[in-house]
Amino acid sequence: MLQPRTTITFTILGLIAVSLLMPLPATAQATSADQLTYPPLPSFEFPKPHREVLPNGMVVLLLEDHELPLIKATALIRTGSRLEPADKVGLAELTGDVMRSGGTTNMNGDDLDDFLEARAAIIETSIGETSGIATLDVLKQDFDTVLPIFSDILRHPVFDPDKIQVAKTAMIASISRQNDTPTSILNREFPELVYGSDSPYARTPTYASVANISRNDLVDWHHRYFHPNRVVLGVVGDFDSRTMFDKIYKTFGDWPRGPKPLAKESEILYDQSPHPGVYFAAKEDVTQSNVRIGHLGIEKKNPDYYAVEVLNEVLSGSFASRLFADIRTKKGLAYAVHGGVGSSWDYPGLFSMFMSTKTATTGEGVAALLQEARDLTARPPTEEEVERAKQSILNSFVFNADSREKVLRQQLTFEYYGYPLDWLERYRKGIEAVTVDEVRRAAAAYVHPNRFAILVVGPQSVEDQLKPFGEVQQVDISIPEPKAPEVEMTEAGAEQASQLLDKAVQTMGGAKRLASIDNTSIDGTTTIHSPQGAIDVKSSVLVVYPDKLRQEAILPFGKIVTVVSPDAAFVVTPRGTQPLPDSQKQQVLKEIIHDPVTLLRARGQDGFQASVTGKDTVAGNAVALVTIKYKGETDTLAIDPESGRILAERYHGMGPGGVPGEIEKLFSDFRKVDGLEFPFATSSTLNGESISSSVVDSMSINGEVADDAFAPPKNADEGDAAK
Amino acid sequence: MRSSRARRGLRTALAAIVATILVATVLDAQDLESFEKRTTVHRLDNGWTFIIVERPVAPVFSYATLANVGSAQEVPGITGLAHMFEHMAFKGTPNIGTTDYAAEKKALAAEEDAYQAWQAERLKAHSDPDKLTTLEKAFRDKQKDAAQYVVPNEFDDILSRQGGVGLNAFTNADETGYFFSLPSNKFELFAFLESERFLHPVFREFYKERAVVQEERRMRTESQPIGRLVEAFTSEAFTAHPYHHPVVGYMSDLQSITMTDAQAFFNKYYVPANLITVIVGDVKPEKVIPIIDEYFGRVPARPAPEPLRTVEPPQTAEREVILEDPSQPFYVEGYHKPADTGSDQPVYDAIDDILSNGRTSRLYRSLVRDKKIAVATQSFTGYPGHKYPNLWAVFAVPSKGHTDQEVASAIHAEIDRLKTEDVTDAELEKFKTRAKATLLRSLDNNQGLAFQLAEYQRLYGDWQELFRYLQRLDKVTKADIRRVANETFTESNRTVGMIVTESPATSKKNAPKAGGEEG
Repeated sequence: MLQPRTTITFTILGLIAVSLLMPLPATAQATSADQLTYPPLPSFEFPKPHREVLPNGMVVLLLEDHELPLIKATALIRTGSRLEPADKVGLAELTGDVMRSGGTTNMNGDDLDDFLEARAAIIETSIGETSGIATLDVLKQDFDTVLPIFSDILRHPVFDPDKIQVAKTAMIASISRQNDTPTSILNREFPELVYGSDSPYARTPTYASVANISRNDLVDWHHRYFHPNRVVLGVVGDFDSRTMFDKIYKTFGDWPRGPKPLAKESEILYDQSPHPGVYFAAKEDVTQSNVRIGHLGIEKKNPDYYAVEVLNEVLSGSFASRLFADIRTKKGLAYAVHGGVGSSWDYPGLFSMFMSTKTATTGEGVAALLQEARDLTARPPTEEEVERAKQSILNSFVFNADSREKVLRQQLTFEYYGYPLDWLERYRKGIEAVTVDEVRRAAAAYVHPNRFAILVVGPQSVEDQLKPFGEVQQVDISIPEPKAPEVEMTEAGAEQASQLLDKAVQTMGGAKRLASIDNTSIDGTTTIHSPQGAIDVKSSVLVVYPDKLRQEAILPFGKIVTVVSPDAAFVVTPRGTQPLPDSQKQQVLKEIIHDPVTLLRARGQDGFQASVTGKDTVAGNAVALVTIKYKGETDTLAIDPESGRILAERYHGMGPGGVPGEIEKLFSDFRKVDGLEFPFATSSTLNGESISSSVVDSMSINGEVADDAFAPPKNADEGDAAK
Repeated sequence: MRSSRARRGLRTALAAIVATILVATVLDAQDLESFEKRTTVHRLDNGWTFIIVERPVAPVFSYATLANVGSAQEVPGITGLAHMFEHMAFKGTPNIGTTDYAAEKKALAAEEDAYQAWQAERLKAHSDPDKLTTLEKAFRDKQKDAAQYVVPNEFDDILSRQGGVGLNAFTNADETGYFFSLPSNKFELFAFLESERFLHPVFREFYKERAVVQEERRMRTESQPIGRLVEAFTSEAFTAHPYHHPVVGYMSDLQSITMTDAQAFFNKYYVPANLITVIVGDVKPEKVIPIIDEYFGRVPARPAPEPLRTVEPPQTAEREVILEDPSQPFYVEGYHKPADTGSDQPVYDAIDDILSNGRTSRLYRSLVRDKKIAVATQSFTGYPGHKYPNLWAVFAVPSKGHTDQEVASAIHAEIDRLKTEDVTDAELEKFKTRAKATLLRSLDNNQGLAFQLAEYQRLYGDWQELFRYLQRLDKVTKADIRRVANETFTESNRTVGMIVTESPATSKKNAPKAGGEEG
């Protein structure tokens, strides 16, 4: 480390050097920022990329940067998820991902990964809302070997089916997690309220839309949009422009020009009329409410854009801005709060204000945001505020030029969206020219509290706090479940199924006895295999067909009674009685449908379909698989053709913890009860993993059903008090 | 670096580095050498270390100040204080953010007295409700009195007017960092603001800001399932060492830390010897060093704080935290390892790279590509900090319909392979190539460079370690990896955390209340 003596010597030398060159600065240090004076900022320029257009229409921008031996390329491609058909939302994203992961005609995906990662070279592709983007980041020494690969990925991707599966799995996982955090709910639902739920600017993939997407769709998408006349390619780094241009021409020059982009591609649908109102989405496991308020914003080409930018700075630009100073600093209501008139390049952005605040101050938070919005006209931006905002923007303008990579990216953007290439310089002049009046007029023109959609995500208990703002509309955020995979039902299969089901009915006790079942009551012990270990549960289940169920289960911490009937659905725990959520009620009703008794008795009813769909072995026995469709459910019974016994049942359903998947039940230990045969042992798996096994202790058929078997307990808080 | 003694040492180091680079033919020796030529280290008499790097790409500069104090310096009762102080560092000084400091000082003292009186009553085993109401009102009145002198957010206001961007700060278990960027002609503004805030910060609006920090905790931890899990996981893995508690602090502590606590914390830990400031951009040392001396030299030297004594005892049995939650599953496990200054750190980095860096990594290929049981998986070292013995950890996000147990098994299979089989030459080579490329890529922006150099200076006492570390990486062998894997990845050294999607049968929420009010 430096010795002190050296430091002092050096410092004195430094001072002398300075004093010889320019007047001595004030020797006393400032005690206030106002006392500081600054030398003028050294002049700087925005480096200008070298621009060429290939004969096939590809636009090429090159910018040299010799600081480090690196080269980076970015291609913007004229495509975007906003061009997707409504029933295939997610197609663009999948295409963008699998272009990279799925390999090319010259190299499969895994070899591609090995090749690139061994050289620390990075190529990535993705398709967003308004464009596709392909990036390349490589050490200078590897550029020549990697450029052809970059070209192949753009021009000749093969969309390997296995990689499509990996990408779909990721998309499906995202969908399943889309309600896990409050902000993901907020930021998904808010665009729907403003753009309309059908708008491409609001739609998000669903299980159904993902299932609808085939490999052909990806191939077609790529074929439609990936042409050189739809590409703007920028390269920045340590190269000579002339040589680089030759390399690009050599690599991309023979890419055939595609058809001209259609004008109707730029007609994008969104709802231009506002949907003001108060909207609420319930999420329980949070200690904060998340709030977003707003309506449509503007496009950047709007002549008022500069005044709007200054307005945004006044509202939310720094710690000294209105939202931050009032709502965070002064009121302590939020850590995160921001807002502004959003703008996009070629479609309207969103005017939006956001904050998150503890649940107890939800109403106060919403009121504070609404007040800030009204204050933009009621307490208009002052000369001081506008001056401060302009200074902020102008004094930091130099940062737009602080990296060549950044400058190139800007130029690519202007080129892609058809903005003038000197847009930044116009921006600076535009901001300089903004007056206080213009900012005030912008506030009046672009912020309309009477058009606000107010969206709040929080626990159900905060809903009351929203009532003062208007009628509260609940937003349904439930994730529609995927349908079971389609199975082929044939006429020959139906004939075979009929014969097998005849046999099963006979084995069970005969059609007449089966039809005479009004209710069953089963006492048993179930061992649940949970992450905490095996839990033994004693239970009594009463089913009155077709749609009433009462289950009493003794769990380690007490008794739980679940009741489902057309009149009521509730659960009684040691803590009291709660209504059963509709989704769980539907699950219970589905379980009754899956009951082989229900299925076998449903033959001949409207909508009942059965077909043999395969063969298998269960517990060493050969079985025929009979797939039944009934009341929207699909069930496969594994029937032993010799004995007529149903040895297993498979269907798509819900495991414990709400995890959906393929359920399989194995039946054994068949015994007779009142002339009917039932399995006294059942073991269940979900996606192949064991979830429970049960044994029947006793069973009765058509026993007496108490009058109040399906009625809620008289004292709502009674719970287990009787015990 | 200007001293001749230092230059000789540097030449030797440079030669070693250059040799490595030539062998690897990855980095351009010319660039590294020029980089080291444009770096100046300047230590003030009070102990404050400055590093100045000339990078005149545009007329701007960035800086990062690291204070060698993090949440690990906290004890129960004041958890969250290091982070709270970070917030306070934006509230100004006697010269920034006030209309009349003489009057404000008195008002703040009165506010604090009133708060202490109220808190003393509140924390009593049996507090008098009437007294509480009176004392609270007295405090709110004094709080209002003090607030009248505040010029809100003046620190940020001054900075952003002058074109400052990227103003922010962070706190973690090891350190607290402050940073922003300015046009290069405004260097003196940086010197004024940054020296002011560490010379004599004023804890104005303390109790308001405490409410803001509570909101931050609710946002980052309480309202995010993975946030809740990580907090529980970390406190399970660390029993004695202060890495145990969350950086944001526990809510009850956030409801009781005081201005007095904050002042004491500042006095003890924000001593100049504990501060490192790195400045990168269009700056010339001969011009800026006089300004640095003038402003930052004002801060008096104070004794360095006592180092942390507690060492986490060896873990002797596997630990597990299971969070039942309506959200989707998530899995994480961690193993104790030595501090990052340990000699095997490059080996842990190699293990990270081979196991989880990119699509060719072992965990990606096994869990995501082949088995399709996870959609993401990543390992990382230095959790929750680097300075003290910490965790090597790995997490996985199960794909829909798949379970924590499945990803755990697959992860263990890969970890076990590292113990029993050598990694391949290709994997080892790829690790080294990527590490060097990552370093090269990080040299192209001022703010990033400032962070990195400050980090290495703080952790190793020498910023050059950023480059020397590459040599250590180059020496990692297959045998090293097997040895470290066998030492680290044992069942008794493992802590597991997972989110399990809730079901009514197994949910404890259906169990009767233990009695008394809910949390």
